[in-house]
Amino acid sequence: MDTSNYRYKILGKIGEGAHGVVLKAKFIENGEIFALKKVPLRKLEDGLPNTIVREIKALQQIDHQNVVKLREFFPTGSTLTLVFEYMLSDLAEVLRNATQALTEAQIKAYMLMLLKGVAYCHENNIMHRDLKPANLLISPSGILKLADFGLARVHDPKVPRPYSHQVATRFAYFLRWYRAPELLYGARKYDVGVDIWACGCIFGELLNHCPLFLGQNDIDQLYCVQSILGTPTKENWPDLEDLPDYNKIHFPSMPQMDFNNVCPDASQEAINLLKKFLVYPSYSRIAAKEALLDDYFFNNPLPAHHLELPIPIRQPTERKFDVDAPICLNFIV
Amino acid sequence: MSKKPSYHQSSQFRNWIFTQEDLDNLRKSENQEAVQRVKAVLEKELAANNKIDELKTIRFISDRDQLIYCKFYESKIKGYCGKSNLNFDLSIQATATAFFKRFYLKNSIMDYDPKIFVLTCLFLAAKVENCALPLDEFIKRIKINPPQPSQILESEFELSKGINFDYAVHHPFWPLHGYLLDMQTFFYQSSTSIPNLSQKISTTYSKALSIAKNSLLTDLMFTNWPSQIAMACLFLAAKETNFVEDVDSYFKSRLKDESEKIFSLSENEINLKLVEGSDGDVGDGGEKLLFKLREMVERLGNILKEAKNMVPEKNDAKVVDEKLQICKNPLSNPESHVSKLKVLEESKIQAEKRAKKIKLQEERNGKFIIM
Repeated sequence: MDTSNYRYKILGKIGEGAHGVVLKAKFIENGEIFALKKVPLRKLEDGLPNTIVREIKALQQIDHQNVVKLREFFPTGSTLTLVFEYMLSDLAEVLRNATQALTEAQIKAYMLMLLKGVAYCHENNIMHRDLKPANLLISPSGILKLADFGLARVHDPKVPRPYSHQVATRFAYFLRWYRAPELLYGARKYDVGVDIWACGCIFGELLNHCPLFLGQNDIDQLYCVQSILGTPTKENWPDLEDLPDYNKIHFPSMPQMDFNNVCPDASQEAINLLKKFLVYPSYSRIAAKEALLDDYFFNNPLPAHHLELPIPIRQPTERKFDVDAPICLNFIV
Repeated sequence: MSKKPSYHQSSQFRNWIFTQEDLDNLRKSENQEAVQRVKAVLEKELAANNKIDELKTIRFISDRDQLIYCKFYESKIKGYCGKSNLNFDLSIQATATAFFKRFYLKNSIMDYDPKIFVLTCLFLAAKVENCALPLDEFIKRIKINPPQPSQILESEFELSKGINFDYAVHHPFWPLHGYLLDMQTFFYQSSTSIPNLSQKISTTYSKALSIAKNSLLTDLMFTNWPSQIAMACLFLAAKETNFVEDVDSYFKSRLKDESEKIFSLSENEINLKLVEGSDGDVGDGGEKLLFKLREMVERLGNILKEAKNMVPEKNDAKVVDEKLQICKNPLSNPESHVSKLKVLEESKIQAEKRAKKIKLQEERNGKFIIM
């Protein structure tokens, strides 16, 4: 029997994902706290789940301050346990709990850390494909880290291969609000630009304290995007007509909105950078590496130090009583 | 941002690069261990069947036998990936080969049946290379002796454990393509004109590519980096196309004038020392490195030349197969006495556990009532 399991003492449940539970645990040797993701492997039709294979493959190649670290993983019986560094919270929670608007310096700090992580992934040929505030975890010292690489894929920039139809349809990549327009139009060939679009959406959300494009469904999502960026034309999006679903939907023609009205409280420099993220053709979007060099990050106010960032305390989840369990078990902490 | 070249962070560099000597020793020691283990189990099995005398006559698989047998199945991977079968591309084929080699480096054919594992490697490699097939479709596409779905599912986890879950595999094809692109820029910018340049480059490249494909059958993936293998392939191909001097001048100038790369070069050099074990005393910096690289390319070239002839004869594999039928680990056969015994023991432990749990719960319930 594998002894690895006994090196960790389970402290509690953090959450439940699509692939099993996430537990908070103490590494007994030195008392360090980790997050254990337990993936059941029993009775799987197609063997090891694709998402797990992807996540392990991607995270093994990654070692960066702004990407969550996979410390180790080990099989225990018929489950696979992935050990991640323990993170206190995520950006979605920061936004939800903020009692006042984030300062510009704080927003800059978050964007800087986000872009550093994304640039690193892209440099190593990894597309995250599922960037959203809930996947940007915050460490106890306020550092933002990319997490959840279950949809990430290691791509080969030299050999463009259309991503299999089955994969493209079975999962809905990106939470809708952060999905790039080419994906909404059913594109099967896409590139790292989808991550950049999501960065833009997150940037807008930090500035406004509210998601930028709040679509109710996929079609409404396209409408939301177009109502701000204007109706795409052949001039500003040459590949438009090649997209599979382009001819299926038509929207009334809309003019482009002034971004100063979309984010009324943002500085001009922030707006300028935001505009570089949110462009229709993927190849025109600014690369994460370039964005890091934008004036925005070098002018006053300078990005805040990570210790100056709000560190929300995880809301204690309400204790639920398990009616079937012996009652005394419910009193054991 | 960390300055280390990303290859140094890869699991391939950390876990799967050896010196030739270490590799041979590892195979030997793993084999000895496996023989000891299987012998002990066989003893029990034969004793149960009152055939203990047979044990003395059994000849176990040696590390050389295993190499021949595995090579035979490695050479089959290409056929499985063909259009009429699975229709998998080169990256899957190469990754599956690497998985297979890595798995049997540390496991024995007496314990795990290569017939099944070669298919499991392909199934898993397809997932890793983002071309996953549903299992039933995968099995449907295998024309000869399709396996049972349960066989693949059972062995997949075993395989993953055996390769330490190191799914990312680096092949020489990427760096080779990189050399191609970089060489094109280099030669088109350089002042000296070479007749038939573009044709020469493309024939050299396609030759080098087919050499790189053959390299999968060698042990080079355990001893050298993908970029080193790619370089050797390129030189070997250039020899055939009369292009060798130009390729040499390309590497020479690239190694010399890119001061930015000096950092990674010094790291390269450290590793080259490990790989080569020799320390030529020629000039310093780039010169020295180039000398060593040439030495390495020469050595790898000799191995690669032989790569085509590496496929073992079917008869050799058959001899091993006959041997294997006798000395297979009886635990791999569910009908054997020891397997049945094991199942029995396991169910006993399970039952004990369950009883303990129920008892514990009852106690807790009891306590609560008393409270």
